[in-house]
Amino acid sequence: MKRIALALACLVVLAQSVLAAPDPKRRVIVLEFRSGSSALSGIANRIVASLAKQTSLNVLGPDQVRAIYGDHLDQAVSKCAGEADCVSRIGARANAAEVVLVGVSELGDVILTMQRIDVANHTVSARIADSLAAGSTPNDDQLSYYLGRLLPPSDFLRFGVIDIISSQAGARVMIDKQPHGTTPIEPLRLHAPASYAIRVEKDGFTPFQTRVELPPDGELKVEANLTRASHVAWYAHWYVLAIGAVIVAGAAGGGIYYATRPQPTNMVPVVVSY
Amino acid sequence: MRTALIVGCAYAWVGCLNTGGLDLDLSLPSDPDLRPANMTSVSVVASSPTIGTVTNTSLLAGTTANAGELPVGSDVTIDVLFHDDSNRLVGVGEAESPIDIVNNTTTTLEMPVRRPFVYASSGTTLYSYDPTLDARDPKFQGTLSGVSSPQMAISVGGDMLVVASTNSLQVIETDTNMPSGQPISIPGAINDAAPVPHTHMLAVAHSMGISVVDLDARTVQTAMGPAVDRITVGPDGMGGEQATGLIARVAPPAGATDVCTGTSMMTTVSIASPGSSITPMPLPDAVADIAASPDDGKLFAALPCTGAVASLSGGKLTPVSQLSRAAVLTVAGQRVWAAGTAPAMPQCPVGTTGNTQPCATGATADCTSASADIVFVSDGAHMIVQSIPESGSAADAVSVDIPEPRETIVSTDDPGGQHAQVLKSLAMTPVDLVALPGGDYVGLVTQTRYFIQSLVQGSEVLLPCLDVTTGDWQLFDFANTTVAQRVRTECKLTIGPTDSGTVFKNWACDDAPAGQQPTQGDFLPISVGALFGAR
Repeated sequence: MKRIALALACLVVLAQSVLAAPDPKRRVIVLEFRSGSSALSGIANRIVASLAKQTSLNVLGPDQVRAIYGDHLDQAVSKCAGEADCVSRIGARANAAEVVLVGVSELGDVILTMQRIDVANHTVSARIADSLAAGSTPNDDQLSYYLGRLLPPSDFLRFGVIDIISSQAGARVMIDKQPHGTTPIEPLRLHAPASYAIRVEKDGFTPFQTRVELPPDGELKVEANLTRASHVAWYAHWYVLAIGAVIVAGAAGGGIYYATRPQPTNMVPVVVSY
Repeated sequence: MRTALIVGCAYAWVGCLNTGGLDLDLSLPSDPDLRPANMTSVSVVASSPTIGTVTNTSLLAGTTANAGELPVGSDVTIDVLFHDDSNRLVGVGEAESPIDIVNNTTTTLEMPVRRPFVYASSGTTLYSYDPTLDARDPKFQGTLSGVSSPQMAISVGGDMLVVASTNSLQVIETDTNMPSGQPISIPGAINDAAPVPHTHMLAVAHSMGISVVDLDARTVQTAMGPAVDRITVGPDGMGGEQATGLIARVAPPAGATDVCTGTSMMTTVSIASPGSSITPMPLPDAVADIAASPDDGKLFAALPCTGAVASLSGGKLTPVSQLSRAAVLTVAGQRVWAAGTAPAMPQCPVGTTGNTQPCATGATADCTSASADIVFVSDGAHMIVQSIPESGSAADAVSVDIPEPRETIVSTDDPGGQHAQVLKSLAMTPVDLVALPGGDYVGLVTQTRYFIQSLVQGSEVLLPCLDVTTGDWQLFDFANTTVAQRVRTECKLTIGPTDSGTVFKNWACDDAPAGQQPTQGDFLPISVGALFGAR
């Protein structure tokens, strides 16, 4: 009974976590709405490029939406005048989960606004606005900052899959020195892009080590062939070699360190805990 | 064994290279209604004159996060902001005092983190708003118990909320929202109060002068003098802090045809040694509010008659921004946040022709006085909020005109409720303002009057005169230049005389939209404050 209750509790927690973060691969369309301003030409396409680079979202720009909706897209967007209800209907035609409506107007300064509109609920989930000096254009870092505020952080978490297949069952799998179970194991979903050090080890076998670069949304298969360790002389044992290496490296490193020791760093790491 | 040896070697090696760090140990209330919730990212904001402002934002996974790196420096102010997945601010923490970040020692800093509650006072009750919740959430609005005659709420470091009554201060512990200790008496009727940055001290403006209160030691030092109406605290430029008081505050004219006139005075006292008396110094203009920068002590003033926000130095006022009927202001995050109003255009009769024209100065609106001449309002008054860089750079100033409000008054004689009059605002007064931490939101309380004279045919009153006063609490979002949350705290209607020919005699304020109705009872707000907020 307790087990069932625990399983149900886990399911509830899982369901909540799924509800909390929107699908990171949902379709998002980016539309542009101008209020008598020709400033920031091509801003919507730059936002599309930035989203495609930083997220796993299925992003469609104005040109792609126009192909779905028809040539009167700009007229329809303009008629909506920023109304979430109206813009949502355009989003629904493009089968999108969300619309990012980019507004450009001028009131002395150029006003850039972005609204994230939930197509199903016809509501605005988030808004940002910035006032830019006439003639200036936000750089890529600024665009990333805007998008980071507009979209949930979970959209910027990207993953890839590493599938580790070992020739030996019961081998320990370590990724970046963290244990991930013993073989055979399910494919591992990990943050990407990132570099991971993989080690597969089993007593009596020579450990398998490699480093892989995991691309976003990519899947890597790693075949770890473990071979039996042969008998070795005392001086060839790993720990003898390790101690010797530490002594040599320590002496060399110490010498190099004192000869070329850097000035104290001007940055310190920050850890937050609560 | 193999792993242990390698780890041991690695630790030894890392130990040789260790260059220090900053550990932020955050304490959150255990009460789920007070504890920040649903946070998905944390921003650590470090600022000092030497390093500027550095913000590191990291995603949260569990209860620990690596928040990047910060530059070494001295006297660094550390703030922590928690956001949820829609980037709504859900938690705030501030270091009690500036720290030194050094590169050869790990500094551990304990900080209280709270939800950025906003408080509005009515004089009898202290109302709270939780801006981390949706306005329709039943816990969005609440009241604080255990306080009597609250005039205003002042955040002191975030772990303390001080509620000023008419002549005493009551400390509230923000991790429990419960009063702590006995009230501290003040020798005068309290008009305003301001926290001394990075201390548990307050400067209090009252009818007998200025008092400096140490909340930990529970001591009160008073510099006696004339009544001080507003007070602000900032660095004195000599390593200490000073309080600046505004004497003879001139309120902005409420009505479009009201006259603005008067002169104000100011006075300063040292926080460390306030002395026994204050010396008023005349100012060259009428002033409605003053605020000092917590970073450099630069003073700013709201000039209601000139219609400007001005910097105040050496008794001289230098306008930094035009702001019609400037009423209230504060300084936070190197910016001045101010509110004023654009006046309404009331219409008055032209003789007995039945035509109207814009009213002249001195015209009045009254349902019962025969000499009152305002008939209706053609253009309503509306609020203007501004964000001005402390440096005074006009290019970076943001000024937003909030669309004029309207109130619908419905005839209750009509069971269908389909006969209504939509009134435009005759007068609007921003009563108080607070800048929330993070720099995106400003909380405002306002009082607004709506008016329309009776409709008369021959000697019969067809529709009676309607005179309405509303109170509002608003949260203005500068990032989106919109009112993010609003509660109409009160709508008080006065109906003018009727007679036997009156078609609709009984009227009532239409209900505010869902989420904008006061759930804790009607009240007219007299002040606003916020945890970690600047007012």
